[in-house]
Amino acid sequence: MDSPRYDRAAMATETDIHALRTPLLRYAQMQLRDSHLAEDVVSETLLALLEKPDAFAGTSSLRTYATGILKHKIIDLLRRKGREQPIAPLEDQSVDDALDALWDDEGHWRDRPHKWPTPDGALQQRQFLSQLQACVDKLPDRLARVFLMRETLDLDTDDICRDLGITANHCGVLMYRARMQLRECLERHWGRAP
Amino acid sequence: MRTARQIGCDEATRLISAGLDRELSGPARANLRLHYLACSACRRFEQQMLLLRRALRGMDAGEIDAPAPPTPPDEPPR
Repeated sequence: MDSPRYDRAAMATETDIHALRTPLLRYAQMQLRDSHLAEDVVSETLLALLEKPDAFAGTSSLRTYATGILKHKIIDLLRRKGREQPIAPLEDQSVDDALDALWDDEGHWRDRPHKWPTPDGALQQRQFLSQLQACVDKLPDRLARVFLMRETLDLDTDDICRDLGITANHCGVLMYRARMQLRECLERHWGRAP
Repeated sequence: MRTARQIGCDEATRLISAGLDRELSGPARANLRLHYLACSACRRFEQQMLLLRRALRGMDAGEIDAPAPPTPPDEPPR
């Protein structure tokens, strides 16, 4: 199959595309927590890139461009999955207790939030993202699912609730718990960084 | 005509979280603004939430392929 598309420049791009596999898998795994599903969306993404190598106009990095495609595939998948696997009802007393423990009798912080070091520079930025990811990985599945749809995929909150078949109030509670747990984790591992 | 009400940090953080997901009502915004005047801790909390949002939205696949640093077991698995 000879086509003018497969000239030397396009071949180089193909190598670049294959090199994206591992980072894309890591990203998809963070979102989906299922290695088979992650493999599937990454394969689809790579295929889409290989089929249309010219679609990448070079306005962003290839990695950013690929991440964008991957996000769309993850969104489609999560929407289908949301309809198939409804979110469990709220009944997590231990989470409520953990949240209550953050406040004193007057409803003020027992431990005030620390000033987090600003992740300036490439190395620090990378360390911060690594730590952030480690903390995201610790979130319980259903919290992670709702939270990541909102914060990494930038979906509208009402759409998320509808897709998952939960009320806006339930959605808000899950989002709050996810944010508080993630913050606690980062506070411990980043906020008190040397 | 609306009077802002004193709220605690627990309620303030819930409002901050809600405000990241949808537009807050006028009274809720007023309560939060009043709270911010007196509470630097919640202002800092808001900054942390915004940093999280920026970091997660801007995250590229390539930026997280490094192995996560080992973290001490800090909480029992739920």
